[in-house]
Amino acid sequence: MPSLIARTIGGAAIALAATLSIACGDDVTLPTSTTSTINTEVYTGTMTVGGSGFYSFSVAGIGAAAITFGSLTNASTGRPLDVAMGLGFGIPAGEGCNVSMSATAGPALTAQISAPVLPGTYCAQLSDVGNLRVPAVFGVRIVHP
Amino acid sequence: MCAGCSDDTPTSPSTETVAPPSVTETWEGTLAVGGSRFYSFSVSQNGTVNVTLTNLLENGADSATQVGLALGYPAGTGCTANTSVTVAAAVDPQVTNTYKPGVYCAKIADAGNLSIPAQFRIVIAHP
Repeated sequence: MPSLIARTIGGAAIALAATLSIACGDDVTLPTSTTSTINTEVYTGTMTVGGSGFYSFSVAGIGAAAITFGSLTNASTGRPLDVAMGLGFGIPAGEGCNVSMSATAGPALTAQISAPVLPGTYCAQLSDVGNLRVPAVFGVRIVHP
Repeated sequence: MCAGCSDDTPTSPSTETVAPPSVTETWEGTLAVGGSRFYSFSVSQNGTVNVTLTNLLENGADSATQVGLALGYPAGTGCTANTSVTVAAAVDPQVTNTYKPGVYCAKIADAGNLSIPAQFRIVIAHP
């Protein structure tokens, strides 16, 4: 049975050999470590009847963008409104947001849209789909890498 | 370790090719007194972006009024400018910059000189 010292030296030699093999190899792909930072942005404003607006955000990593239409209140009274609005995700283009994913939903606590993203610039859009009767203050939360 | 057993000859850093504009987008609209508007576009490869305010009309007639013109990137509910100038309509590009692939924006704004809404035409040329 080898001594503790012998086993330690042997282990070190194997580790060194492995290191040298990696250091001199031509086809070795080293594992990459990714540090993803999650960013949260809040898009707020006042939506007019029949109106639409969008918010641009920059994604730095690979992952998913979660968009939550979280609140809607009467702009005059401040009372909550349970009204379904159009929510979209896409890329800024021209004077708008070129939507690639969409949902019609009322305000909620969980994301109505979750979209895979690569680094780049994207947009979240909120629009009245015909249900709004009064101007309303809205809040949309965008969480992305 | 690696340098000791490698035969590779060091290479110089490559210089990135700057492509000339190959796509033209025309943006037309009305600029309100005190207002601003922006237009987003996608650049497909590293290259030059030119923005030209070609026409500005007040009361239907050509105007020499100067307005703000900018180039930047969409952020939040607006366009964050990298380069901006105050110019009148002209034939040659008033704003130019070199960008990597991505989404950028051109912006026009009343610089305080408009007394009535003005119709504008802006040509954006990019790779």
